[in-house]
Amino acid sequence: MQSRQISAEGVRMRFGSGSAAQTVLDDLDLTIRPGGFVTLLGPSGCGKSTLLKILGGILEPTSGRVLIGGRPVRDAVGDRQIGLVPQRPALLPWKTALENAGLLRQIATGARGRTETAQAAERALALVGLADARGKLPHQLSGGMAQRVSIARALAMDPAILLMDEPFGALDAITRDEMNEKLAEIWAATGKTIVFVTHSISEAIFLSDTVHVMGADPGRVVETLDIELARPRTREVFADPLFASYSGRLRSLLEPKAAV
Amino acid sequence: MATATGTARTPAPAAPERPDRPGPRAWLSAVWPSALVLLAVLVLWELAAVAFGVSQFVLATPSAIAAETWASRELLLAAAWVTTQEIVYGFAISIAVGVLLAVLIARFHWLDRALYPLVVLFQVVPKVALAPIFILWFGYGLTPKLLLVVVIAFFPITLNMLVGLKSIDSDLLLLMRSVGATRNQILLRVQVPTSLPYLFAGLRIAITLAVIGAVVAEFAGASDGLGYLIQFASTQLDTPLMFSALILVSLLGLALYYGMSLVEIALARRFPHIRADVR
Repeated sequence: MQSRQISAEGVRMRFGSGSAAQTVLDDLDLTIRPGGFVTLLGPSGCGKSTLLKILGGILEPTSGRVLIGGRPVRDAVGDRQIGLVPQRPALLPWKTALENAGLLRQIATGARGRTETAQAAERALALVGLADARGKLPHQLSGGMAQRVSIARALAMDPAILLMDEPFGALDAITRDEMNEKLAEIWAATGKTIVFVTHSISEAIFLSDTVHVMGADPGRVVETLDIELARPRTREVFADPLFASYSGRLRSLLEPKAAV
Repeated sequence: MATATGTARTPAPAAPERPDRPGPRAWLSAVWPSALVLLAVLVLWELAAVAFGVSQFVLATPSAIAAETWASRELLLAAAWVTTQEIVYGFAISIAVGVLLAVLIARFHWLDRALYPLVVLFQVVPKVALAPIFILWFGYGLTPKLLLVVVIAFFPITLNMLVGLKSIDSDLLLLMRSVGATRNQILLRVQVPTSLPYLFAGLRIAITLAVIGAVVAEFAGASDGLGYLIQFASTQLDTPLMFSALILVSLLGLALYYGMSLVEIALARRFPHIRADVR
């Protein structure tokens, strides 16, 4: 587990070609220590989701490379070391919560691992607090529950690294707070490395050890801020003066620069 | 009652019971207004035909049609059985052809490019005009009828299924690929079940087209069936019999349409997203 450090070296991403080419990420370096909770915070269009996809091996960078524990991302993907949680739950509507939770592991391990998959899916559902909803179908779940099944689907693969792309963006504020507390619990219980993309400042502070603030045009890390609030964190953290100072600092970093 | 919880391994205790099919009482209250209008039209039709002295050769009265239907019941039922077979077999082949074509086009990019434009091009051919050609090639038997049903009915099945196969959630596609799912796995585990509601939308259009296909094929050349009976009665100036056969073929279409709805409801127990309120 200690070797599972994520390092991005000189990652550059360009879409399109010729005059229409757009540099989404430019010469980006990033190191994420194993077991950390790291947030990529930035305005929309800063390439944070693209960076997450590159870290997850879904996108190949134009140049530069990403290593996980010193090996190429592709190896880590092959070893099921990376779990993805997309923006929308993207559950199969005809499968129960349990079947959905086991879906990706089932595909990754094939028919041989059927029993193990079922057990891993059970454990993952219990971890996200949905053991009782195992037999429910997606349309019987609330938005927050559906997103928790999506997290369980990633956890069932028992990855060392969890990559989450604005997973709570579509939820209402109250559910979002609940989900954040739940996620902090899961993180503490499992010791996984979590890379979390968001554009919510308070979400970033509440969850993270480290916040990488990203800027747009081209996408890059403009500042890295360590959050030194005591854990476990509860909603009382929002009233902490330190929270307010982090919040102010991040807000000023995210404010668009005045045009010259 | 097919509530969605029916498929769950462990029934969720908190799930509210939600009936998805109205009971007989609700069905009756939904149907009686249109039944009343229909009855009124029939009464007016009868009265008008009598009052204006319209000949039975031109417009048969409802009472004459009813009498004729009863008198020729054996003839009508035998003909209906022939037409039913044409429609059902033809429709079954249409489903097989339509689904297979959609799956192949969705699975292989080169087929998408090679076949899809041709399928669309074929759609502008007036299929009804093919009936005489099929009769020429295959004679008066079952084969030309099945062929015409298939060429008319497969297209909406293929088109709708194809839209369904391509409507897969992009995030889910990404997840499946990230764990090394093959294209066949994605097709069978995600795309085909996802496309079911679209497929049934296509089937609903196709079943009515299948009825048209069978009747037109019988017009073009047949020795039996309801379409043949309509033409035969027309040459005999037996207008009540024409109407009898027409009504019977309409009822046949209605029965097949609702039969398919029953299949849909049965399948929705396993794939609840077929029901619109679940999606």
